[in-house]
Amino acid sequence: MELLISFALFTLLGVVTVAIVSQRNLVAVVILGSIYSFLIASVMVVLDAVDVALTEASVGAGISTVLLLAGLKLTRTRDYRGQDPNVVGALLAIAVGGALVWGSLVLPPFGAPDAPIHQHVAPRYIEGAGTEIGVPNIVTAVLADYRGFDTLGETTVVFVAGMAVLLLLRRSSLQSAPPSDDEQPAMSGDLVLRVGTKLILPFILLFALYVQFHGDYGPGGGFQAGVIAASAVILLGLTLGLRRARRIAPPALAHAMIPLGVLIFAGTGVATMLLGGDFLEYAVLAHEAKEGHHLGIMLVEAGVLVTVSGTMISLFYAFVERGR
Amino acid sequence: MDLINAALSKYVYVVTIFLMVAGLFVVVARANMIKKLVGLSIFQSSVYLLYLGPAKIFGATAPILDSDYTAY
Repeated sequence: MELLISFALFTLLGVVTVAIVSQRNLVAVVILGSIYSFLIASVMVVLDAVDVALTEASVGAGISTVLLLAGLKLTRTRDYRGQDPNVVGALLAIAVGGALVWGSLVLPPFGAPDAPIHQHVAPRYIEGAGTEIGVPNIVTAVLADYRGFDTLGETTVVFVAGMAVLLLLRRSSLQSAPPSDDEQPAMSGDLVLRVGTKLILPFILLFALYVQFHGDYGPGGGFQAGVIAASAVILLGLTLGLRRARRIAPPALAHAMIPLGVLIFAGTGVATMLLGGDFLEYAVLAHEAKEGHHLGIMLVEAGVLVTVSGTMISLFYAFVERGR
Repeated sequence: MDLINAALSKYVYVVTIFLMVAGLFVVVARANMIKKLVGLSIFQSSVYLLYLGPAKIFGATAPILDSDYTAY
């Protein structure tokens, strides 16, 4: 059964990819890309990778589609003209594909429990997540605790990338006239969208909080919750107007959140050092080691939430304001 | 039946590699930047699949500890 579902989903993935490669209308390419992300998220659920599936569904199918459409509006392109078949690209693709297929011949059969990937560190983490960390979601235990240092690096990458995009897009917003606030949003005429947005907004925010604080026990955590919370603000900006969105999430606040989250994350590490432990050694945060781990993971995930949601909201504002 | 299972299990890897190659081709051969970005995201997610595919165990569950399951 699992094999059949994987077969169907992988076939759909291949079909959508062929459509993306051959499609010349860029709006269609972006929408197909959104469908592709949704399919990938479904495949990840089948492959038991629920945390990364949640990320892919919110980032790939949600926010990046909005940002790509905003980019299309900025560049005012819809189609691009046909070009000569690219022989170098095709040869490179065939060569890489051949090498990869050759390498895949020695991969263990799909779904086998005795594959080498399950023999090394994986049993250690499965064993330790319950006894050492006390967190049922092993992904959260690895991400925020065992590999907390890597996640600090990832959060810093989000911070640096957000800053770079903001700096790139900001330059011309100084040259052009300041945006006027009374402009009607693109989709404000649609009654169903406006009422639907108002109805669904509290539930999106509630779901973001659930994903954030339930990350220890189920799929989720700071990255996913940050993107979901930002998508609520983006939805508000798209349907009810930027002015309403700015009142709830002022751009200055969103900008300030980007470094603040990294500061919370790194500050947790410094706090553990001041309490006599190593950097990000959560056990010293409370009297009992497991409680300390819980507290540390919660603080670190809060830092990730703040940076990710701040970055996403700031990127949305930067794109939309430049498009005026 | 075993033969079908073996073919299907290779199929997963072949599609993953196809996605990777298609993404690479779009990035190299297409001039438009938006199209390159979509191609790059195809390439990127196929790398995830290359990690996740060999790690799948039939009958196992997602890595969230639960007393009803022993395989993750």
